[in-house]
Amino acid sequence: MTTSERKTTGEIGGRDHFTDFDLDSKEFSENFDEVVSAVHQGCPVARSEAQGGYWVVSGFDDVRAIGQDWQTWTNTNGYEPTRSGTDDARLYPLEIDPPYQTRWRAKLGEYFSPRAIRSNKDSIRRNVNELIDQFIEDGECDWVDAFAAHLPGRVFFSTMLGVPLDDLPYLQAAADQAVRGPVEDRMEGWNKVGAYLAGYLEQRAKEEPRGDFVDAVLEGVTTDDGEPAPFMHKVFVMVDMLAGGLATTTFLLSGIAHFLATHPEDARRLADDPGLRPGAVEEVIRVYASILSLGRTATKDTEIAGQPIRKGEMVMLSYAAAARDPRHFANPHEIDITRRIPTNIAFGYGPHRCIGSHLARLQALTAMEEMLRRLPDLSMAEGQEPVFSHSTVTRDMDTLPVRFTPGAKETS
Amino acid sequence: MKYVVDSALCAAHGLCADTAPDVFTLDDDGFNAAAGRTVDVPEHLEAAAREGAAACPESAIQIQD
Ligand code: HEM
Repeated sequence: MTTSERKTTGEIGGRDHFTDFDLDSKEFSENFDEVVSAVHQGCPVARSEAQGGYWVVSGFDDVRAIGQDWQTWTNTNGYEPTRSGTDDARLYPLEIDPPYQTRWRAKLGEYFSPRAIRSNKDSIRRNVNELIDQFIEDGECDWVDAFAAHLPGRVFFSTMLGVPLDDLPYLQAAADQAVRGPVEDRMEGWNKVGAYLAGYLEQRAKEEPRGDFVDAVLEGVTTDDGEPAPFMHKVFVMVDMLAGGLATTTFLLSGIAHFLATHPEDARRLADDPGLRPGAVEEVIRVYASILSLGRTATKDTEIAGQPIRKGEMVMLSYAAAARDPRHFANPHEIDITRRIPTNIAFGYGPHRCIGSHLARLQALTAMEEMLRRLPDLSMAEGQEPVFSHSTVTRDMDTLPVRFTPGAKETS
Repeated sequence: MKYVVDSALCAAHGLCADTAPDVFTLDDDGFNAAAGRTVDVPEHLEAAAREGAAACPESAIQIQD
């Protein structure tokens, strides 16, 4: 794009988001919709000097093209600029490229297929209702703390990992610390999660196989050298599942509640017509896109939308911005429950596209169904707004104070 | 050329088979019949395979040259 066509300045909230973008900045998180609109209009490839410097790519078509071209854009240099690229704490398959990455995906795919995920539906519904029981008599709660932060962990630990029930509180607390705790405590949380998962893998390796996801991880695949994947790589796979699947789904479940609480008309239509619900979930995933951005590193000199990029430079693919590209979506910031979106770019594109998309969708749909049934008049607490925050990678909701007509518990 | 279908992603939209019926077939539930496998593509169908892969809304089909 030439300078003359550009919206000339990206100045919003005291920062120029065209030349001095910072994914982590308050100026961005506090003016999210406005900044996203501005970059789509004036600066599809913005420059950041934060974290040693990176580019931010926002256009739907550019993000898609880069996501599909893993030869030019590698994941092996880490998912964000501050990743050191050392090999002691990695996320797999996120931080590897095909063909090794493809082998892991082929190994794990069947456990995440729509058919496999659907078999968890009853267990997800039971977990949803147990959580709702804990606050339904109160008539109010903080939705994040009471519900959204808990469901993804319960579902993943109990159904996918099959860890002993007694270990759940510890693991949930460690994951919570890693994902939502004070920033300076998060590394400690991840270390606890990693240590637990390594221990769990070791223990399962000694047991009779159960034929589940954990056994598939233990079987492993061959590396590009033709060697069996080392044990550490298997731990990296387990940690990636939690890093990729917990906070993201928590934000989505918070988004579902925020949307229903602030759109009573839509909530009524969804209550009356179950056929509209999957499309509504898809729209919430798009507008409350949990992954703000993830990185790729150029393997050669190249360009994006006319912007030269040098070999070794990092670009952050802004999925949350691409999901609101006005060239693809009319009224991009609005949730339109009748909109039909062909591809939900909130889950990425290309070989790294989210392996857990069907699990996230099913949790969101089941939560929506039970909320419409048991909390039909959900609304924001008087005069309250949600508190949003974000990091380079994720968007988060810290609190969501809601109220509703109290109801009765259903399970004992 | 080969293609791989990621069974975690295939959601039975059916667009691959609509776009390139000579390359992709669906199973009884509408999922890509090759989900989870790597499949060789005959040379005369390479262009069709690329189009079918590009049509997938879930990015489930990867082409390997
Ligand atoms: C709303 C929920 C979710 C969103 C928006 C989301 C988004 C994404 C995105 C955008 C990517 C692409 C990464 C890239 O381009 O580098 C991704 C990858 C991934 N996601 Fe999700 N995700 C969600 C839920 C989940 C769940 C529930 C799980 C697992 C249980 C999961 C596990 C992963 C893993 C392991 C990867 C890496 C895949 C690879 O590199 O091949 N995600 N996710």
